[in-house]
Amino acid sequence: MRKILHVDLNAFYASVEQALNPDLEGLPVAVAGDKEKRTGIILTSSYEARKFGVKTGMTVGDAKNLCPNLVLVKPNFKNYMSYSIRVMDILRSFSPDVEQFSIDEAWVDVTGCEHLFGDGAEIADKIRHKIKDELNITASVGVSYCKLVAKMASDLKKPDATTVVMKEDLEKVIWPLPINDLMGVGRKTRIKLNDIGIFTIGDLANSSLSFIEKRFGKVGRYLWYFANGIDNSKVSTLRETAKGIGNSITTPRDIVNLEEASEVLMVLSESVGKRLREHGLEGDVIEITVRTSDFNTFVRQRKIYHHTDTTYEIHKNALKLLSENWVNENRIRLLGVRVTGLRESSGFKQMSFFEEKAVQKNEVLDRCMDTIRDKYGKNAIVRASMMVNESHKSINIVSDKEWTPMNPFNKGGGNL
Amino acid sequence: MWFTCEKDVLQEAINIVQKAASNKTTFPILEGILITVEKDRVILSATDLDLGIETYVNADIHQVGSVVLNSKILGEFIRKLPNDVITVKKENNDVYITCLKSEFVLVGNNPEEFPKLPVINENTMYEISQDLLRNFIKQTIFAVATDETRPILTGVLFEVRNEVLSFVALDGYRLALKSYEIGNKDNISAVIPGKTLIEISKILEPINEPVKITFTPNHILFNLGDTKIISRLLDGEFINYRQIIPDEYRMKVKVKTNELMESIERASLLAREGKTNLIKFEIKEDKMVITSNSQMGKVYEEVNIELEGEGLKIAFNSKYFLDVLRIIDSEEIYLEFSSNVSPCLVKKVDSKDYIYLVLPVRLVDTV
Repeated sequence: MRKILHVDLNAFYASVEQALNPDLEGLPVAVAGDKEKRTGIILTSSYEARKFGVKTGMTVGDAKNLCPNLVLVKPNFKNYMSYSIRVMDILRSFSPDVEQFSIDEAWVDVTGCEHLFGDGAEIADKIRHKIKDELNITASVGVSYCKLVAKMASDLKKPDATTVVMKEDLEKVIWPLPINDLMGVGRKTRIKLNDIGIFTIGDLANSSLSFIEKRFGKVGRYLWYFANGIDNSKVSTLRETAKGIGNSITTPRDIVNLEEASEVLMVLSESVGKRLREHGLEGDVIEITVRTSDFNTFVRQRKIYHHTDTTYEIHKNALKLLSENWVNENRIRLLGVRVTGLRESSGFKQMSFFEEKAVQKNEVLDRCMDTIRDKYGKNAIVRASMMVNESHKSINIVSDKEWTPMNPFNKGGGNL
Repeated sequence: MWFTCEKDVLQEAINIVQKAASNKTTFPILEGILITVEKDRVILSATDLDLGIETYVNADIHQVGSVVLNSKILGEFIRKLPNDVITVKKENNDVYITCLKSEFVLVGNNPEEFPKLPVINENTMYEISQDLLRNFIKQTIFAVATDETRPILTGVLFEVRNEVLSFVALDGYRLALKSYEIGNKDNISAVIPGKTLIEISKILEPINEPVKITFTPNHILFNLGDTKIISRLLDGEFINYRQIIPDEYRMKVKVKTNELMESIERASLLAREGKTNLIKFEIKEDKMVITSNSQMGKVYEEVNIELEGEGLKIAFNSKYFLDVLRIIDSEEIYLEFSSNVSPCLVKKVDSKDYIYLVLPVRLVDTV
């Protein structure tokens, strides 16, 4: 039997704001996109605010009506990202098999780790305590024998709790839940299922598979399996699944010349390169995304015929792609850099007649900078070219697609 | 336009010129074969503007004229005809091809629209046998660059210098150099597109018949007697390859080509799985140990060698070694090494006419 944990960070954005600013502790806090405007949308609210009925997706105006003392905070994705990365590092200190599902959710396969850290529930508690001690935010952890049930279990008790749901608990714990609590059942499917008398997960689990399949096709089959707690999908690390690693930036002001663009591409290439090296990956396709101020977006990519993870090579090729494809009259408002064609780096490199010295030098340089930054922070060392324009330091880098993987229940190992 | 000839003869001629016909539809006339019937001969030609081929066909001529026919359709139709006499006759714009009880009518294109092949003054500059040229191509072509980062490297350098003819191909990672004493001839240095040479090598036969070679500043002409091949040359300077080839080494291994190849082939089965093709050599005294591993397992191979100098551990991309072992025409070879981060030279034991150089795979420095 496998031991799978699902870790869900509670009220994540709001919790991070409270962790960073002690003045907010214990107050009803909400993170909202456009907090000045009453039509802005609540992204997350703290548990204190939830008591008043403030929910994700509400307008700022409605939320203020429910809770006049609500403290509104502008989102700071950079902080959320860095907290998220630190949480993932904590998870990886328990098991290498960590699959991140979104910025605040991940599965951990701890099968076989019992001797090291205790049984599933004990590991879950240790993880929660470590996250709380180190980051001052809370998590709900579900413990089960598969990803699906672990995820449902983490939803049962919030915040700051461990919930174990094993196979024999399904009937008692999961089946009474309303059908829309099941992964894959949205509003439309719920209505269709209600139409045929299915209101709880148990109702679906006890229906005949052939009937459901006839009615809903392949999707129906999957839902029936899910309702019966059958899920054989693997917890897969980024290594196995990532097709590409990329970052993009909406620049504070439009970019009008190649020099400026080169600096921004450097910021992006550094970040992409570092992530590649962290995950032990190298790629042989460089891709750029460009959005011009008239909101036209184009993507260009090029195969580079050898695998790389160095900032220097990523930047060189990204810049070349941009200069070949950019008509200078167009001002740029968003730039993205992505590396695909990934494989695990073997630690070996084919030597070349050309630029061998530069390549070797940059490999060492990158790794050296990584070490310094890991130890002393990102701004402890910067490229001289980055010092010309201080504003780049404050740019928000957004990782593309990293948080939106394909269907996590479709990852092999399964015999549905 | 009207002629008759044997099916075999026409089919062979079509096969030859087809190699130059374009596959792209941007300029449809280039997908055609130009058939020109003169008083005493029939000429077939095709070109994609980079490469042009023309060849003569033995035929009974009844009426002169010319037409352009789609190369693919014509080729397939002729190939499927029985072995007998074929009549080709143009009436207005239609071309009637008849053989026994089959008749095929193709709409012809205007021959005036067909681009003229460059006219080259045929004062032969170099002459080598078909067989030798074939070997020259075979032993170098595999090392041309497949990417367009440095376009000049997608071609093979044709160089005559100090009475020696050399073909040189190199991508970023290995170099192949084939040479031959051609006698007192003019020096030259020109780069022939790899694609041209691949097509030519399909036409060349392992026979002693001479190939006459002529250059203009922009073109090369190969004259095989009944067939002429004209190709554009690549623009630009070739890499100064001499400075890449070291003239000293610290250790030298003598090994049987076949044994080494078979061992590497086995080792590369697993190396391929890791997408890196990485194989490791450990050379010591009288043997060379070849290993490779991936998540699927590992391979260990031993090959007997004669060693001059000290041992060494070094790693390579197996493909770069297999490529050369498969075409080198020598039962035994020398491998020359200096260190595990400098090139390995592969040479024939019995001749100095071939050098292959390959760069190793090195360990990434971690701080």
